[in-house]
Amino acid sequence: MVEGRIIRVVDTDGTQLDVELISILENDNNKYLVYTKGEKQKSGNIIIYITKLVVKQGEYYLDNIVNDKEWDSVKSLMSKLINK
Amino acid sequence: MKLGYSNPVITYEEIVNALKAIIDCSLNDNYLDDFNYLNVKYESEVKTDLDEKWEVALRKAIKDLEKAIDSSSKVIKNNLEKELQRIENDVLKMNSLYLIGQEKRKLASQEVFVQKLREKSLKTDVLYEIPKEDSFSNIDNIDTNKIFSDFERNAIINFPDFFKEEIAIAKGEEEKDDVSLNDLYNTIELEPIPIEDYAKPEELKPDGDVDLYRVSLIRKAIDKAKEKNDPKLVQMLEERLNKELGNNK
Repeated sequence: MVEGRIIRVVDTDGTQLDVELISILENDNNKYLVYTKGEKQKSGNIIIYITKLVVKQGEYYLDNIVNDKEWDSVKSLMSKLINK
Repeated sequence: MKLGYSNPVITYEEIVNALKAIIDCSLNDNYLDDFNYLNVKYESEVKTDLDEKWEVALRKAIKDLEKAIDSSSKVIKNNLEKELQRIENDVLKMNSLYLIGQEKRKLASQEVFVQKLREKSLKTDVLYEIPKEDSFSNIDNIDTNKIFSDFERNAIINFPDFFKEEIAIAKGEEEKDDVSLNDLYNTIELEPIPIEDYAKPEELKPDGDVDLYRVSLIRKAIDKAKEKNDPKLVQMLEERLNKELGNNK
């Protein structure tokens, strides 16, 4: 797999973690960050996370996608991307 | 059919049945060294010496035949067992190859998926990119441009269940879980994608004055690098800052 960029993210408890950025996608004026912590499932597949990227007071925040409609929309976006 | 000088009453059917019994015994591994199933009867109801000779000859012939059948059946059985073992091995090998192929295909599918995500990504240069000369393990001297998150709550793209769900929805089978793997992986186009087909990615910019924002980030990074007493990193960041300021002129 092609090595991507490493970004540093701070968890809510202050823990810092360096993750590999895979992609930043845009959908309905929202931006989503796709990343991996390098974890793998038993099958060998890499565990991929996706989260909403927002800017608050000059800092980046990763917000949960908690809305089902938004999650469906993001999945639809990714489906379109991989099937293009 | 009559056999024997004194015409013992052994019918053709009795001999056939006896042979069948021998064959059954041999094939079933339940061979009984007993000839009582051949019920020889004599017209005179008294066994003569000649009858005795014929009976001995007949029993010997049956014994030989029984051994021949027994031996043949064992050879056939052995051959069948070998053939069965060979087929089982072939099936096992085929299954293994199929499963390995499926696993390889799954992994390849995810790689294509991730690759497409990378290639479709917006520009990410607003995010702080760690220089290549700073290894992953030596990243502690970078302490700026933090992104705040709650990792445990971020959504996981569960591959390939993600696609499984998509297929189920497309088929109107949202309640069903038994979407076939072939359907699942056939949805992923594994052909390479020509780069020229991609739309030019737009730059990701946070709200507000982007240039000032970048400059402020780099300056913060320089301060941190100075605190860490890392002249190499300071120099690199200053070059980046100059470049950024130069671009703004």
